[in-house]
Amino acid sequence: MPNKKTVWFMLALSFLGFLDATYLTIKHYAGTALVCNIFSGCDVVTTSKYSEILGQPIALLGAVYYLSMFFFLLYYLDTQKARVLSLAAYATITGFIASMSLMYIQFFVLKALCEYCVFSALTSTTLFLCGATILWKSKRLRDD
Amino acid sequence: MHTSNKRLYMWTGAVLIVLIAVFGIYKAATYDSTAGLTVSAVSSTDWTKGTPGKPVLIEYSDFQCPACGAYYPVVKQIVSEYSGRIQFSYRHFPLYELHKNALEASYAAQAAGKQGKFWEMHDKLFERQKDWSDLDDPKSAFEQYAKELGLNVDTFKKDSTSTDVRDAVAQSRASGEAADVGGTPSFFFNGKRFQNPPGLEAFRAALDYYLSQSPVQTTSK
Repeated sequence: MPNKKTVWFMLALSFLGFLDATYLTIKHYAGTALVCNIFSGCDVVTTSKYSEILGQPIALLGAVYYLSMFFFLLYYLDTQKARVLSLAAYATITGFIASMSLMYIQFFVLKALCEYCVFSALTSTTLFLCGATILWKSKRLRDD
Repeated sequence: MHTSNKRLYMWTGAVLIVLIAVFGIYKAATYDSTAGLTVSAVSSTDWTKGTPGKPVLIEYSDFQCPACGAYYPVVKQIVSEYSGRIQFSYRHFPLYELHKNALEASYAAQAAGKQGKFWEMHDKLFERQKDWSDLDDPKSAFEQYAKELGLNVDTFKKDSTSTDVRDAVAQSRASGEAADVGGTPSFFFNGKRFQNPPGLEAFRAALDYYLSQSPVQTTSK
């Protein structure tokens, strides 16, 4: 299993991403977000119209994504089916594109950042880089 | 150890870790860091509405803060509905660290107050928040509002830069800092902090609850 370390690293990342997205989801439903704070600024991002999709907080989608990724990777570590890993690796592309779109909205539309959202962008980008490495390696193995 | 046992432990362990983490995150996300905070009583230098001697609702607010702007119609409605049962006080907490025109807006309201129109300027500043928030120099916009309110603009201009106006705003913010107000809007009922109710209905429910809990007023004049 050449990718074992990478997979463990991805497992840890998806767990962190899950914690982060869960925090934002709970904050969203608790409805106590509306405040401007000296240290963390105003909740422009998490209370904007872009924070929801079809009436559900985007953070919830993120939490589902990271949790699925977590169990998928665990399933791979358990069964070591190469197909499972390549599916997970492909799924990181979705997370990466979603995060990039949200970062774009923060930078250019809302002109405000939310620290938890930036953290999520970091975890999903790193997951994507790991996923791409795995896919590239497996392609090279096939080509050889 | 059998492989099947090992797998069972791994999966059970993973599910447990996730559940514990969700519980911990839930506790962290819903933790009320404001519980137990108290603030100084209303004094003669405060801007007040409602009925003196009744339980006091205090808002620490910043005219440029979008969250305060969102709360403005809610608070206005609450104050008019409960005017016979509470006294409301607005205290300046300009977040100049975040909002470049917040201080100047507080000065404008305070200066309008010197001509008896604090609340009128307060309303105007919130209603037109988007118009002046990004201006490099909001003074001419505020002077325009003063004119619309029928104030003596020259006096208004002079008052806006006066020491007592500036001191009043600084004291207001300092009283908030002493009460650990870290953001805006922050609400206190009878001196005790409560979490921002999400929306008008929740605000009514919170006030009804606090009013039923504390029929005795604690105002000092």
